[in-house]
Amino acid sequence: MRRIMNSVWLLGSIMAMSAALVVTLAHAAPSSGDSNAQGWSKEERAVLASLSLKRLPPVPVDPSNAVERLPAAIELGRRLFADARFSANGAVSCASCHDPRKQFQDGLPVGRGVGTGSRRAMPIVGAGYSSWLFWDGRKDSLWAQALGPLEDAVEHGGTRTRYAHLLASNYRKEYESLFGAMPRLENLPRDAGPQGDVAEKAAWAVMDTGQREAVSRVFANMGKAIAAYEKSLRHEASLLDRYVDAVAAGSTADRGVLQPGEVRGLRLFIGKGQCVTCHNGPLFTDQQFHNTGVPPRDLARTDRGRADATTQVRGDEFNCLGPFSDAQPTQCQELRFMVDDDPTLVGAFKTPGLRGVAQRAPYMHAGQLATLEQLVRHYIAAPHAAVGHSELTHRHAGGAAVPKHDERAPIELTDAEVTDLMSLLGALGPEPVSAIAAQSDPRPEQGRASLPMGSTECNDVACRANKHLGYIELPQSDGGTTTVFYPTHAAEAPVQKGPFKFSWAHDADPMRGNGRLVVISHGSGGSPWVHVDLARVLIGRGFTVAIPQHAGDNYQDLAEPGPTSWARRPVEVSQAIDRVSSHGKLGPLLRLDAVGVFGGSAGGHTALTLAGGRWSPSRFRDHCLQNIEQDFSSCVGFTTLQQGDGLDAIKAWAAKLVIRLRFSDATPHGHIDPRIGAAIAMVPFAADFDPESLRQPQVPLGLVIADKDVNQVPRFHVEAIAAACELRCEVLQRLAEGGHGTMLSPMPPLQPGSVADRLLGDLPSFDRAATIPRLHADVAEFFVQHLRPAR
Amino acid sequence: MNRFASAALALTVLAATAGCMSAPSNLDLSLTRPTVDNKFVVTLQPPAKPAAINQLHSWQVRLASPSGTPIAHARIKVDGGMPQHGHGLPTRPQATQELADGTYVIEGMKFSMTGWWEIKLAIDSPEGVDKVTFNTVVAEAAAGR
Repeated sequence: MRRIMNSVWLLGSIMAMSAALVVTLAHAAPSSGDSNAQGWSKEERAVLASLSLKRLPPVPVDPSNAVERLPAAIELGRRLFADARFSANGAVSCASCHDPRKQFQDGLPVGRGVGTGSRRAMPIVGAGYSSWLFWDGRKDSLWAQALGPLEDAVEHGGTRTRYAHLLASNYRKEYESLFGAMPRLENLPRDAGPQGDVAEKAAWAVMDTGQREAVSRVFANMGKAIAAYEKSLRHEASLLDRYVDAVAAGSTADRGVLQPGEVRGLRLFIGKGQCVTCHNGPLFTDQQFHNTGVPPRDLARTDRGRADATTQVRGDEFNCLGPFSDAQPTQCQELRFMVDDDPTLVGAFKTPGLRGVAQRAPYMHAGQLATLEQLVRHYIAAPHAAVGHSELTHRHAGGAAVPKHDERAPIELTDAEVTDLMSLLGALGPEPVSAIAAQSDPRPEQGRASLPMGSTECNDVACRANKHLGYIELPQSDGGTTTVFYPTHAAEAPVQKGPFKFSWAHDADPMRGNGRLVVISHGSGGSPWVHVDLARVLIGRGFTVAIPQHAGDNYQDLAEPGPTSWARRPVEVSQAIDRVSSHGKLGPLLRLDAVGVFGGSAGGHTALTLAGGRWSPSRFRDHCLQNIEQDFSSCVGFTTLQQGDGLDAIKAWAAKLVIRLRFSDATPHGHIDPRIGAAIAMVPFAADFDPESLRQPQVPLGLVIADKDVNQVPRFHVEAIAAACELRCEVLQRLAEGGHGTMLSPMPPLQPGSVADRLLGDLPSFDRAATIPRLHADVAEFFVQHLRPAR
Repeated sequence: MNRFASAALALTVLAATAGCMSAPSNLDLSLTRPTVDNKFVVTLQPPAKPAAINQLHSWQVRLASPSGTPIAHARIKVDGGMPQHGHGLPTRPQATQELADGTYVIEGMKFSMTGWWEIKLAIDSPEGVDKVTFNTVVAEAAAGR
């Protein structure tokens, strides 16, 4: 009985609570409503808002690719994308021309694979929004597109049987888990295919129909996996996004992110420059085909562009209506309603998106224009088209030709305006990553790969060799320690911390990452060590990670858990931000106007508070008085469990008695730190929050639900928050077999059968090795999306 | 006729809030119009919920004689584009079904951007041949999420 009394969160803590609370109640000041500071009209503001990345809808589902959203397909595709064995000479992968370090393009006028191509390699991020792929749209899906270069004689130059053999020997398990049994390939030629050289075509011709179809299906499936990976790539927000979001919100906070010249350029972009006519929407493209009179690369070989591609896509065996498509014919609407006989398609090419354009010279479909200035001046010069007719108009030869009513007006810009427009184009990419950081990332990250354009991820051995985990301890005024992890070039050394073996670079000089900080709030009785795996993933994305030690509720000092700590924790997060900010080496590399906060369990309580949630001890009391039998550990802590015996009722009765006595304070508690830009609460303690306070959190809020959590039973906690939240909330992951311990990685050793094991241990059905990396990747992605890594 | 009226009203309201790319202010946005040679009265019905930019969707067209008799068994060709930008429709919409009452389903409609679009219908029926042009202003609100 005494043990139970002692085990309830509060003993020894409640008395201190009122004195120790350092709570600042919510005081988010609304902006001053200066919605028109830089003179944008209502119409202009609407156009600006339409360009924001926030307006980008979810990527459309491709019914012809049944696997495109399966993590296993994304992972297989990611590996295939970078595997140079899939080429005639073993040296060309998709990543050769679509280099993740260069926005998935190569910086060359025309592609260079095993030979030299005739068109410019296109960036890949956002390609899933296109109905038609390639510059001329000769493919109608991302997977069909991926197959083109593989068989093209000057790109990968390989054959279908070669690729099938390679898949069977190197990726059989992965392939078969997605697509079923691999066909028998033993007797098939090494190189045979319908697009190959004479010998390869002949070898293909003598295969029987069934064999050809089986191999083509393997080939198509390979494209589907690559497409799944490509479709998982996301754009990073740009400075322009911050600006237009601020304008749309009527806020002045982020107006300064664009220089005056960039703002003038923006006015030209949506105004007399007419750029937005075709470069519209969040991707800056209408996804259509236009002839703007771009001079051909080779005058002797004019390129009719879209006009020739419509026949190709209709006849493509890999199109939506073909035998390898997963779509019903009725779902192939784009093919059905395709424009194929319009004279304006002659010499027309697809409008490319402009995100990151300034870092993607040379320009146009065959790299005809070397610089950004030539690009802008092309639209002013508006030359006549070598093939077909240009949509642009121009007062050629100084004539008085006034455009007809139904034509576009000429684009006429002064030299200063050209400069302004170029400045604006420079603001369409994410922040420039330092050259060193870019060089250190040769390959895309694992899992859900979302890559900042111009930089890439670091999650494999080769990459980690350059981008290491830095580690430093910052002393807290209360005697605790804030642990900080950060990217560094310095070498890591093995470290033992309690039962854990780690490696990191102690006190090493930090390298410039993405400029953003994420604070991890540990759980009750927690340590930084159980969050090192997440920290490493965040460091891989360029973040710096700080983990404050929560006083009285950590692995070294468990004197004051529960509501006493809950009230302090958000303040301790703010103090940790201050501490990192004032650190001589870390501070200058960070912009602390948008800090992320992640927390699990009691740390989740911290995150919810910082997201604007308000809670009170009396709500804790009410929850426990009502639900203690169903949510016992939340009310009683880690010391005892319900055992299904006669003592359960006594334990519950005793706990209720204490709770009723100790938790009567009905004051709403909160803490707003305006530097917090996004929050994630994983398996949080949340039953004491006023649901109304989290109906519209102050910042984007991610939630992670573990269905098998017996410590904080989801329906009373995280699910209640998810149900209450109407705006800016996202369930990042719901782990069907996950328990409370999914917030810990590495997992501490738990004595089998102990209370901790029962509350935190993984179920046998939980696949930790497969689940946690994906979870961490999603957490990192959430912060990338919402914290908008800074310049 | 109510359905048509309410849909027409919805589009008009939408158009009033649009105009970002400065479509002419005097555009006739009516959704019921006589054809050029007054052989038919045509009513265009946009989808109840404006479609997102670059998303395929369907419209309906109702054909009647000037006296209001529904016109059946007509062939309708759809064309159009953005007069201010010099390009056509991004798709080739087709009249794919004839419903009762002289109503036809137009599938494959798509707008690739906001602004002023023309929708041109060429009608070929036992009662004669004629054509009509409608204006529609696609607003950012329709660009949806």
